[in-house]
Amino acid sequence: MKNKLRELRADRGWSQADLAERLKVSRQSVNAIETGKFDPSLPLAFLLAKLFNAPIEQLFQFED
Amino acid sequence: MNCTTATGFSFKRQNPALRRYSQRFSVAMGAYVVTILLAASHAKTGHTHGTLAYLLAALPGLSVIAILVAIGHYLREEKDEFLRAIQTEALLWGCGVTLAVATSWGFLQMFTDVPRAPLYLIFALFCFVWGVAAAVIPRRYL
Repeated sequence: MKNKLRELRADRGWSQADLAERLKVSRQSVNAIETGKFDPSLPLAFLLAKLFNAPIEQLFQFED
Repeated sequence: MNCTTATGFSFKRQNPALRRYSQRFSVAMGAYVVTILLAASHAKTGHTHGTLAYLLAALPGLSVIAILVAIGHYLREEKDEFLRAIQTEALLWGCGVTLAVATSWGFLQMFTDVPRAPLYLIFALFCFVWGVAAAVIPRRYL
């Protein structure tokens, strides 16, 4: 799963730790999601979408 | 204040699930050590029969159950799904390797003259493999 979290986070000037604090997860969780090594659950994906005020499909793109 | 978790991850504030787990685990592990010492000192006196001897010998096993319950509570309470996934995989490694080694050694004991392995080491093996896996698995995500 590809994602645009890094760009969206950078646009807001947030560090990984800032985003982690907003999501109430570890910074390593944010890093693992950003690098595409860990796919978040639907609730966490929705939370990210709400936080960035963007639809989920703008944040995550499914790769065949 | 930063602190480091069992999986080597840092939080600005300690994760509440992890804090509760640490407390429960410490109490249960402390009970494990104390009950082993109690049972061992009682056995050393030559009292290996009777209700007290059986009760004291059963206590370390109950402590192990308390440790496993603490682990179960942690997995249920951990809100960070990434940490939960790492711990779940590490625990599966612990269970899998322990089952494989214990069963294989059991067959070796049954069909060959290898020395009999003490069964109490099974839990120590599980903890060792779980700990190693919990340290190694996060490296995959660096």
